[in-house]
Parts: sequence; structure tokens; C-alpha cells
Amino acid sequence: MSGMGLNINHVSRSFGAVKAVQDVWLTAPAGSVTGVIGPNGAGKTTTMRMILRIIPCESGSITWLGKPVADWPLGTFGYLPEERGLYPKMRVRDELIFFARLHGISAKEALEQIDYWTDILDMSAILNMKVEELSKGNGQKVQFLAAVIHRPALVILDEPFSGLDPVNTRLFMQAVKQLSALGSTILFSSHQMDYVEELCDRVCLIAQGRTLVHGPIDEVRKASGKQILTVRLKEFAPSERSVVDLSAEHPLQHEMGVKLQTAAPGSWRYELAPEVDTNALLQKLQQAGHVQHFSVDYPSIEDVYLATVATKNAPTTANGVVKEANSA
Amino acid sequence: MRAIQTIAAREFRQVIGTRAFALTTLVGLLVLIAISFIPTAMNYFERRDLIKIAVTDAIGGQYELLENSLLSIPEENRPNVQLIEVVGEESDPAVLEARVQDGSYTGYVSLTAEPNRSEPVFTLVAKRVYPSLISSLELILRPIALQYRLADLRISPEELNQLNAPTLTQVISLAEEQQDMESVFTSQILAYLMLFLLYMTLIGYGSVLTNGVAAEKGSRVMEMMLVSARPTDLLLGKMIGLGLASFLQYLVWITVGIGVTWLTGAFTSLSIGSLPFELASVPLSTALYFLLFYLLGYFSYAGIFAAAGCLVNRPEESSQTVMPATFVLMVAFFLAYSGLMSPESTVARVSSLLPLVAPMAMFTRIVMTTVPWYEIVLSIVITIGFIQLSIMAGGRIYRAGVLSARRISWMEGLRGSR
Repeated sequence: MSGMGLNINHVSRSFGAVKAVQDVWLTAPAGSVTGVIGPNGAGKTTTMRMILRIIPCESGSITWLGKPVADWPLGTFGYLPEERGLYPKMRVRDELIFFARLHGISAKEALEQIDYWTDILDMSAILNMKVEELSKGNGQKVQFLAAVIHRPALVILDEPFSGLDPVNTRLFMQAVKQLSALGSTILFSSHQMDYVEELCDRVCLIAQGRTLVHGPIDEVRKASGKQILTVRLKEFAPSERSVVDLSAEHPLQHEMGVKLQTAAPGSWRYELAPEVDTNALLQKLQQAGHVQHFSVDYPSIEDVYLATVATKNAPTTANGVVKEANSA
Repeated sequence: MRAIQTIAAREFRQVIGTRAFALTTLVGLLVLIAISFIPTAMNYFERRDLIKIAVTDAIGGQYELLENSLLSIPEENRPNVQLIEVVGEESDPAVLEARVQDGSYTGYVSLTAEPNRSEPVFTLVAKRVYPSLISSLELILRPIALQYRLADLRISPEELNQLNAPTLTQVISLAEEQQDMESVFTSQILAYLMLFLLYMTLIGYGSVLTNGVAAEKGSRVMEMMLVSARPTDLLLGKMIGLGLASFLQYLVWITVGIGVTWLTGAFTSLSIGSLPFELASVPLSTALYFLLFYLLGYFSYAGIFAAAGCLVNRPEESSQTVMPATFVLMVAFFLAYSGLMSPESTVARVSSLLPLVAPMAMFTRIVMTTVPWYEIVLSIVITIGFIQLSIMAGGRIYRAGVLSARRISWMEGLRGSR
């Protein structure tokens, strides 16, 4: 699959004995939002750096709109790195103009962009402040704007929501949606699966330097064939023992193809095998108590993540770098 | 090009906006002004320190000789001595001693005759005897004593002149341009100035460059910039911006310096000892060579200092990585300095073609001697080639450094990102 959008074609990269990326592939059609998920040290950041040509890949290729990324002029892409960095002594407006000029747009265009994004990111009050005086959230806003001020066609965001409070997170999600609405293709990594689900059309799960799951969100969720049942019951009377151990006794304990995932007082989450009759389960539950909530859905991205990564049981080291003795 | 320009402009504004820049510029200015006022100040103090010498002439007719001797000394070398002839009661030693004690006189000199000796005996009585007092009086008394001694030896003043005639009666220089002592002196000053300026700039601004790069790496701002600029652009931009800032500082100093010397009436002619430094007599070609070799020298080292910053994660760690560059700079400085002492030597010729030393050594040779044009071109080509190589190597180290969270060695950096 090549041509439109971003196409990562089985790339690899190692640093000395450490194989950071072994076989990562993904396609992100132009205008799409793709979430890249995976454990720490899975190779997400290295992959992003390869897209941005900060480091070259050892094998495989990366193309944007059908052309190798190396052939695109500097300033074509936008990048918000995981580790935040700005010039601390500069004023916010000057810093933004500096990055805009570096990315190839004029100071005048930069000021127009600053005007445009100031409302969306609620940052009018900080434009004249020095970067070192900003809170973490505000610093992140400035860095986000510095990364996208030149309206790049492809934007790479590495952990854009880490360390943000709920209000700023909402603001950022709004900004990402806005960026997408303006036509940018967005690739971002995150450990917050609910954000990925809310923002993305597509998802790519990387672990141990390899793409394990990849595709449109809905298809990925349906792919396992399993379903998730969430139940809330009133007046279900467990024995004394199960008050201490909530999973010891639950309303669908003896049903075939029903596997308890999590349990809380009065509520349970089950994984259902494809052949299970959900109507029969509802009747069972009504006999066991008063049903307050009953929903059946495909597994969430978090479920897919947990199931896939747990199966792989990635041997990560303390600093999160995947280590393998032999190459694949 | 756009990236280099943007980074250079930011760097320039950033550096000239710092308190350290304002402070060093100001301190430099104060030192400069102080230096240019030193002759005036010394004059003032000398006038205050007038040496008043009372003279008692027991022989007769000797006081006039003393006075004439004092007046015959050229004004710029004349000691600040006032001679006062005392006679009668005033010439009584007890009275004179009292006058010396109360400070009316610095001291008194009595001239007495001795049997079998034509030369008078000069006796100095002073409250305090110090070197400048002795040397001032020696200057006045020596010619008089000499006259007596010549007469004793029956040597006429003409014969004395013959004895003192210089050994080299004719000096012919085969250089294309006739060099007089003054222009040799001016060349020497220019060569010193080049060595001094380059050394000061690189020692002062080299660490600013290293720390700036290290801070960018530490704050991770590098990663943001690498999306839109090549590492070599980032290094070159920083080097140019910082170079311009140092240039601005020198410009301020030079403008104020010229202004002050103009005000004090010493414009374009700065005299050191008895030799004048004629600013206006510096040929345009020399001025252009000065600028060219200054820039070549700056960029030769700036690349190394910038690359040193990529090896570390915090500015505090940079002193060790900078050490090799500082060491090379010192060796180059001494090589160039030895070239200044003997510009025709093999050491001077070889070092003017060595990268890192060439900018300083070649300029010295150009101003002090006649250098074949091909040697100048070769020196420039070698230096530009070295600068290009060092920036490329710096870019490699930059890329390797940006990905590393620890301090890396020069060798690891040069090997590139692993």
C-alpha cells in the first residue's frame, strides 16, 4: 500500500546492541488521525524520529504522499517531541515567531497563526511572558503551537497529553481535532487509550519494536471476535467470602464462554466468546437481581492493548528499552 | 540558508540581550577609557610630584651649567625637576636641611671642588632617596660630568661624535615596499592585535558557544529544530550569530576608543614609547587581510567549540570536553607568537599552512614579510577546507549527541549515531 498519506514500510533501527525497532509498518491515509500505542520502549519514538529524518532507518522505507520522506524539503513536517524543550529566556511570541521562521514561514504569517490558535488554546494571557515563567500546561501549549505554526501537512505528536490536567487535556484534544479539520494528517502516540479512541480513525500497536495490531479503530476492535459485557446489578447477595474477594462470586459464574474481567461491588465486566447468547445472559441476570445496566460492545482499544501485550509479555528493562539477545 | 539566518539572528539577539554581554562591554569600555586617560593622568600626577632641588654652588658658575643641562633635555624626556639656586644664609646646610625636612625642597645638591680633580663633587641630601629622584638628577648631572671627563682625557666633542657614530652606516631593504621602522612597528602592533583579538574572542565566546549548544541539548529544543534544519545549519547559525555579537562588542569598543583618543587629541597616532602607531598608515589590503584571517580563525575554532557542546547534556559538564580545543588554541597562539618574533623562520612558514594556526601565523607573515601569493592562497584554502570538515564533523556529533542522554566522548561523537 503506497501512494497517498504516510506509509511506513517494515523499518528497523538499532542502537549498538539494542534493537529499538525491528519491523514496524503502518499506513496513515492523508487527512487521517492515527494513534500509535505500545509499552514504554516499544520503539514508538524511534519510529517517529525516523519519519522525521532525525535518524535514518537501517532497513525498510518511509514515504509521504508516495515520495521518500528524505526527498521532502525541511519544514514539511511538524513535530512535538516527547521531551519538552523551548528556549527558556525568550518571550512566548518571539519564540513562536522564531520557530515559524525556522519552519519557513514569514513573521507576518506567524502572527496570523498565533492569532488563530490563541483562542483555541486559550493562551492570549501568556504571549508576552517568558517561557521559563510558564506552567507546564502553558509550556506545552507553546510547544504545540511551535510545532504546527507552519501548518504542516503531516504532524507527529509524541505523547502530547502526558502531564496535562483534565482542562488542558480537553483543550489539547480540541486543538488536535482542529488541526485535523484543517487537513493535516496526524500521527500521535499516547498511553491514554480513551483519548486514542476518541481522536483517532486508525490505531497502530507497537511492542518490542514490531507492529502487532494495525488498522481502522472499529476493525481492530472487532477483529478478536469477542465482545465485552458490562453489568450492574442491585440486590445481588454474595456470600461473606466474596465481599473480601469480589471475583470469587459473581452472577454469571457458571456460564459457558463467559470470562470475568474485572469486578467492583455491584458491577462486573465480562469477556464473551462469539457463540454466547446475550439474551439468555440478560434473563439469567434478571433472576439473580435487579439489572440496572446491561451493555454489550466490542473490546475497547485498551482491551485489545492489554490482551495483545499480555500475550506477548514483552521483556522490558527498567529504562524501558527493549532488549533482545538475537536479531529476528 | 533560511535556517542559518533565522538561528543566527536569534543567537545574536539572545547574546546581546544578556546581562553578561552588557557587563563585559561596559567593563571593556571603562578599561579602554581608563587606558586612554593614563598619559593625561600621569602628567597630572607628575606635575604634582615636582622635584624641587636647591643648589648651592661653592665653585661658582656651575649653577648655569646645571640649568642649561636641564633645558637641553628634549621636553618629552625632561624630568620634572625645578632647580633653585640658594646663596648666602639660605645656603647654610642647617637651613637647607630644615627646608628639606619641612618639605620646601625635595632635596639639595651642593657642588664642591676637590683638590686634584677638575670634576665637581655633587652631593645630594634628601629626606627620602628613591630611584626616580636619583635617575632624574643623573640625567641632568651626567652631561656636565662628561664634559669635565672629556676635557681631562683631551677629547674634543667632534672626536666624541666620531666615537659614538653608528656601526651600520647604510641599511638597504630589498622588500618590494620600503619599510621604515615606523611601518614595521605598525605591522607588529597589527599582528599582536590579531593574536590578542582572536585569542580573547575564542576564550571568551568559545565557552558561550559550547554552553549554548549544551543548553539546547539539555532542554531538548534541538529535537524540535532538527525537523526544519540540518545540524550543520544549526551549528553555523549559532557560530555566525555569536560571531556577530562579538563583532558588535568590538565595534562599540573601537568607536568609543577612537572617539576618546580623538577627544584627547591622540587620534590615529597612538605612540608607544617613542614609536608612533599610525592607524591611518595601515594599507587597505592589510585591513582586509586582517578581517579575512580574523574570520577564518574564528570559524576554525568555533566549529570545535560548538561540537564540544553536543557531547554533554548540561553546560556544567562542558569544561572537560572544551579542554582539547582550548589546548590547541594555546599551542596555536604560541606558534603564531614565535612567528611574530621571527617571521622568516621555518616554524613560521610551516605554521602558516597548518589548520588552526594558519589564520594567525599567515597574517603575521603577511604584515611582517613579503609572502608569495600562492602561499597565501594555499593557507586560505587549507583553512576553509578545515572549517568545512569541522562543521561536517560537528553536524555528525550533533546528531549523535541529540539522541544520547549521557555525556559522550569525541570519538563516539565522530563515529556518529550508533
